[in-house]
Amino acid sequence: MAEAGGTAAHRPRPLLGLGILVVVLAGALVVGGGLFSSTPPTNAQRAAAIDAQLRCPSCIDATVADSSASSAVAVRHEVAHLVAEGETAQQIDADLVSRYGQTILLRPPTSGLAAAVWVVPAVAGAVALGALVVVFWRRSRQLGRLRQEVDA
Amino acid sequence: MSTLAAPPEGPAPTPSRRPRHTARWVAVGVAAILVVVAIVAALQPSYQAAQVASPLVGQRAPAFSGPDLDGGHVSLADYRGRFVYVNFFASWCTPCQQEEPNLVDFAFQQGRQPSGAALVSVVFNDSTSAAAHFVSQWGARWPAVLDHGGTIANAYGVGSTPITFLVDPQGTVVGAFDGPVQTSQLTTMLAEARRAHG
Amino acid sequence: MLNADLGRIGVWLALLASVAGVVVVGLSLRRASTGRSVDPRLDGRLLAPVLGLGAVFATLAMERALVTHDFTLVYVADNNARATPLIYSITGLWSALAGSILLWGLALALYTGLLVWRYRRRWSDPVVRWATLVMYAVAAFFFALMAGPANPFLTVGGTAPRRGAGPNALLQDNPLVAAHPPLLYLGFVGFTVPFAFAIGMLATGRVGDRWLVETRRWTLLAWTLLSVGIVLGAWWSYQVLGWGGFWGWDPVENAALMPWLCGTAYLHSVLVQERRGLLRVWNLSLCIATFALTILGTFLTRSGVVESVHAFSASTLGPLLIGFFVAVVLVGFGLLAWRGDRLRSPGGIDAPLGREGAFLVNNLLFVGFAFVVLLGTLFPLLYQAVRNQQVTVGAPYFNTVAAPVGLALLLLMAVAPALSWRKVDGTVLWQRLRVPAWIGVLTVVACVAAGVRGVEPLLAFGLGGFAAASAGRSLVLSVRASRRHGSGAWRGLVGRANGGMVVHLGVVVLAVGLVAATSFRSSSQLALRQGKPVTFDGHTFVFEGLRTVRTPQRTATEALVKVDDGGPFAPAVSQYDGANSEAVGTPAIDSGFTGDVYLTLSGIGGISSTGAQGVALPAGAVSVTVVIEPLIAWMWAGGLLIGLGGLLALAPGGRRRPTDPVSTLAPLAAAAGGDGDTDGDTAAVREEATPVGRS
Repeated sequence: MAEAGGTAAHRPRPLLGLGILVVVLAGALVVGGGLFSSTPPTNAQRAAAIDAQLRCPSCIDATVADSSASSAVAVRHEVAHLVAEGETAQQIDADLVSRYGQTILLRPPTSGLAAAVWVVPAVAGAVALGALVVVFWRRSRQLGRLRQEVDA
Repeated sequence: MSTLAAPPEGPAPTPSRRPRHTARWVAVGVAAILVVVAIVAALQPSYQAAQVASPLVGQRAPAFSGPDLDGGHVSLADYRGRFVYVNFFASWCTPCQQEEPNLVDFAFQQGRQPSGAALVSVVFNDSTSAAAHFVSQWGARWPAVLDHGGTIANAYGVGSTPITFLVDPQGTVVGAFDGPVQTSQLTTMLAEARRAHG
Repeated sequence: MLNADLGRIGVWLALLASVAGVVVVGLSLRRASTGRSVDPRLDGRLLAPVLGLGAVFATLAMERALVTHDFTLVYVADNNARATPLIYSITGLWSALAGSILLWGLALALYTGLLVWRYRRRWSDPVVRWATLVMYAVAAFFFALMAGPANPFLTVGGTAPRRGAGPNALLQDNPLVAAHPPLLYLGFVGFTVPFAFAIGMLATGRVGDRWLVETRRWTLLAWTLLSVGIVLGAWWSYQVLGWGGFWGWDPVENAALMPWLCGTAYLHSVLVQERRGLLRVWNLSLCIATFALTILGTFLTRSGVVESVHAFSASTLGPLLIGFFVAVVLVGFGLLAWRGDRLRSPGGIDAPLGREGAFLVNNLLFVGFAFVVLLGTLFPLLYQAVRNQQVTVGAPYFNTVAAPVGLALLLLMAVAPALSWRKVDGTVLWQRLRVPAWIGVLTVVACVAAGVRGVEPLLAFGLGGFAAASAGRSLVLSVRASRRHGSGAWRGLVGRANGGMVVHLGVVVLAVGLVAATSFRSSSQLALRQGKPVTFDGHTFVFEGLRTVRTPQRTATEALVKVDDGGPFAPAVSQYDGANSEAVGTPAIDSGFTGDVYLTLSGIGGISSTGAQGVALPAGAVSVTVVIEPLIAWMWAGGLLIGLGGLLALAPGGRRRPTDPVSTLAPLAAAAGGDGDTDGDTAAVREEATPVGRS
């Protein structure tokens, strides 16, 4: 790889080194990302995935997948039964919400007023990023002007 | 070749007004947000039964049937044609202990009326013996259904106790309480339901 | 009765001392500001030992009551039983709301005493006096709570019960209960000190950089204790709660996390202020916000407003605590607004690719994440207040935000130590980071080769490798440099920058463990018959038999299970003595370097179940839930490294400051810092510093 030293003749080298690194990384991620090997999930896996997103109704803080409380076990049985009947995750969620209410889902809803919990951070993040960009841009323009003044 | 002798601080053409206000705006903004949050967060619910908008209200009450504590058999269908309160309880739950005497009073009052409302309890996550002991200790005389496998609780979306549903003579859920109920709350909801029912 | 009286005396003594402290120090400040000479008798420092005495007295009284099972005290009757072993009697001090506030008061008194002692020779400085006044004021608030609405020494009306209810079953299951709350509280309360100095600086108008720099050691101490406290809390949850989870985004867990996030941001951005005199308003805001969040955290924990694993019974403290929180915010930010014009920094952040820019991004990530955690925690309350409907904001929400933030922070951790101040040349940066970057990429390749799948975990491991190598590089350079300067190799590990690199290493180890344990976790419920091996996920389990264990404290049914011919491990169902307990599952864990096997006893065959066990087990068989968690032990090791790194950072490094800091009126003539190195700071970077202003 590139040796130490920063003369102009070596300048292209870092880009080459960086380029090789990026290619190797991308390759590894593509292979490792599971794009080439994906067996469809089994019923048990699907049920487990759904269970992990449900709140155990009688616990304070556990998921249906984790808890051994009777209410969680009952919900697990029902989810397994519905998965075997071929219902989708959305249908199963809607089923449970129709009895337990919205609170059985651990993920807050993405529509309606409650979606504010998703929207507010996204907006705040965008605003912060924008402010950062603006501040740096202004500063670099200011420095550029100063350099011109000094050089002149 | 030109190097800057000094870093660009000092009398640079920075807009001098802005930084002064930054601190103030930061302060005002943060304080405003936090004060609003604080006031809302300070609203505490008091621990008494609240009439909740259970998603089951307006829906058909899920059917159930099973053995009761006395060895008999109980099903919701038995109560068609009457108003019935379905109460989920457990012997280990403190608010259930609080509300049990109120339920006993209510049952007594309703029993003395010609077409009074009925009362059915469902045992939630408890052993038969403990539930039976609880019921006899408080002198509750109405049927209590055993819920093997937690299926009845699951059908009603019950995750904690005590929860009480009011079912009308057609088998529709018309109201729900979450928490320990007072006798007056039960009679009030019943009266309103009768009025609405016609 | 004696214990209750002694305790109340202690509380009142502490309360009077702190109130007197506020008055005395306030008077002396007023006199000094009007130019009159200060009466030497008006020495507010003398009240600090009295405050400490009162706090210690009250704590000892409660401990004595717990250890002797004095059931005339309501608290002891509710949280202790005769059968409770000594260690759990002692830890009973913090097992419930009323007692844990005593611990908070003790920590406050301790820190006040430390502050007074540490700055005893600088008492003439008004900033020190203001800081002491603020400490007294906060102590007065908490001891007033203890004297009134949160009285821990309530006595039972009538005759004392003969049997105590005993501690909550989950709180007498594991000795970590002795470590987690005290460390956590020491961390929380420790943030009061930087806040006190911030108020002092703002109140006196002496907002130069020296005092903020001086107090960074206090912040680092509090931060280290809080970090270790949080990790221990996660470890404790893991060992006790029964499903192999360690963090549930519980409101109380979040309440501890938020001040930690702001405190971490503050630790980093104060470096920028030291070096370049920038971000003054931001730093003071963070300092105030961190302390305010500790109060908010106390409020969330104690008022029961949002239910959680730690929820104590509902109390009347809610309005008082929230009132104090509002007061803190208004006073802090009000002062900040008032002094805002003095806080202008000369200069600005020159380029995003410099170290200042990196710290700024770091801060935005941490503070932004803290904001999201706050929003998510309070959202159910806010929504219920507005709509009267309930909604849950659970782990999926927080994890969705945490994952990209975590990856971004790992990247920053890798790149930032190699950045120079002000501006960096791309070529130089690549030169420095070439080897660590390749180590990161090779980590990813190795993981893929080993069968690891999933873009997010692979990225996390790769970035972790990158960050660890970058931190390692800094440490190696620092050790070499200090050896060359003749101070010995170990000096290269001590001091703020180097301790910081060790902390970063700890964070990487923790992050790797966390990602592995959550992404590659597998679990199953196994029906085990005696003597018949069952395999799952590469491990073999053999059930050997049931055993009943009876101690005065607990009765437990244990299932002896051999895991891969090791053990036997004994997951159990335990019943603790006392009314406060229900049967709880006691998990058993086979810990290893590559992962844990986590066992819980979920059913015993032949016993009619009380709940909803659908599977009918034949007698003689047991149902054991097995959870395989890869690399989870790395989390606890990472926590240990973080604690070690914090201690290293606290130790004095190369040179001490030649002069004591004296508060000066702002603005300073030149940006602070840049004039020589202190505390073994940035030794590694100095080796390769790029000259400023290179064209």
